[in-house]
Amino acid sequence: MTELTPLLQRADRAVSGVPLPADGIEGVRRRRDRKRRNQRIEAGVVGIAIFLAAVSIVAVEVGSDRTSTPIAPPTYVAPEPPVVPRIGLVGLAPEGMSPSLPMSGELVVSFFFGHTMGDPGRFHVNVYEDGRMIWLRLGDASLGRSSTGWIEQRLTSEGVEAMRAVVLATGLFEADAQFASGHGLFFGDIGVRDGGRFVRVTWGDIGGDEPATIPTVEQANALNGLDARFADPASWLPAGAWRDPEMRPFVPSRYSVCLGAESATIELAESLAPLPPQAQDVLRAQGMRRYEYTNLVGTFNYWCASFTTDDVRALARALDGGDHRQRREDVFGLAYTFDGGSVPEVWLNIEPTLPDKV
Amino acid sequence: MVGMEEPAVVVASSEGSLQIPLTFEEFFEAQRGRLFRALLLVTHDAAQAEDLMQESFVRVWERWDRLGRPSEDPVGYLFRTAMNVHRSARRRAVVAARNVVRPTPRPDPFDDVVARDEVTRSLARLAPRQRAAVVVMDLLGYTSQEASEILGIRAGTVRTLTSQARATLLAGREPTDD
Repeated sequence: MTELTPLLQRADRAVSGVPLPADGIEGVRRRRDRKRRNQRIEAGVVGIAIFLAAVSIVAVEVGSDRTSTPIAPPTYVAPEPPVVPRIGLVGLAPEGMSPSLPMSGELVVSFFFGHTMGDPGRFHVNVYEDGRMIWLRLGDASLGRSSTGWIEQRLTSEGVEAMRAVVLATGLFEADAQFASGHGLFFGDIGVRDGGRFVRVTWGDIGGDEPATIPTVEQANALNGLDARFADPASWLPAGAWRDPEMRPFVPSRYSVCLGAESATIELAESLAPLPPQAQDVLRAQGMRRYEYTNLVGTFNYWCASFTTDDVRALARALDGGDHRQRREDVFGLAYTFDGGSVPEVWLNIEPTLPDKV
Repeated sequence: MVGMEEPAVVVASSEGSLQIPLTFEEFFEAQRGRLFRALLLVTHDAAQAEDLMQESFVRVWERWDRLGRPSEDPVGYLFRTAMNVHRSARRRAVVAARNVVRPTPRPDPFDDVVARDEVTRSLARLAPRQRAAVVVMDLLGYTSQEASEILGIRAGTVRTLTSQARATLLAGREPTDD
């Protein structure tokens, strides 16, 4: 039950005046039967198609000189990315692991590619001037794949330049651009440094209103092709592009700790109140800063501080000693929720800080 | 005949526990109103809500042998499927919009509700993902973690979407006497 539940219940009552579909279970039964019939037909069509394809291959091989002109370029179908097991860390870095150095790094390419409308398969890659390539692919249960976690590989300066060049070669990064989803694109955000500028191309719903411009097939194919390149750089980068191609866990040198509530605005004291006293002390000592997130529809705030790995471990111990509603370790770090006092729920996230955010 | 040998299930619902043992037909009758109303609020289109509801129930029916087991959660599966199908439909709609001439719209009974009810009008102003998040959490009563599984997005994203949606809805609320 939230403060909005009565409003939604009112809307629910209002829409209860819309009559239910008249055909009820019979409509579902007809749809199921139609689906089964179509599946049988499709199975037959596939068999015929395979037969015809085999015949046409034979025809080409015997020397047919017929030519055809395609009406439109086909939508790009990306190859399946290589299967990479979970190499990255889950939760906090274990004691004794050396953090990735240098602590901070300058971004040359940032790459964020959604492969569904949600999180499954989402792919992030950051390429830094110092040669680090830090990347993550989220799991997709429908493909039986787990998240890779944050992985680090090292490029030479030649490799960094090759990754930058392949982005610029698409011709899409002359200026910032925003597209709607379409032609196999769901949502994403690619940025590349070009001289003194950092040019970004985004598409789909990435937090604000979805733009109206649908990419052309060629533009979508270029972005999807880039995704295939980034998914498997070992297949096209020259040997000299790698300083260390081995995939290792990215070990952060710092973590961001943020907490807030689902309500629009919350003061620090309110957000700290449900936490164990020792954790409150640790957080206050770090000097939590207020951040605001503003979008087209409203503003809400949360509180954050940057922690060293040692400090964040101490915080986690203090949090684990108290009463939390939920604790979750994943490739994004550690997340807790607490029963709020003045608010329904307080959340606290501990996430690795990537080198461009240090 | 489906349902003659259905195993027993206990289905927790905000509308109360359902009778056991449960056949698919009973499950359909128990859930179709709730699902249809939720989909109306998410899609704002009665024809689309009907289409999504039918497809979701077909998918549940195809898996009823497994979903009917006591350890399974057919209600959660139904709503998760509905939201998945909704996302896929949105994708197809965006792609199809380039090439398809829109038919003349038929009268939608939902339009009458929107004309009368201020809350449903406010919901129309939300982005589709915000609307789905707020319906799943604030109306259907799922937690942010459960909503994240139903909507296929991170719990943090659910929280962000619902915060945005709540800010919009509460800010735009006209004075009422209830």
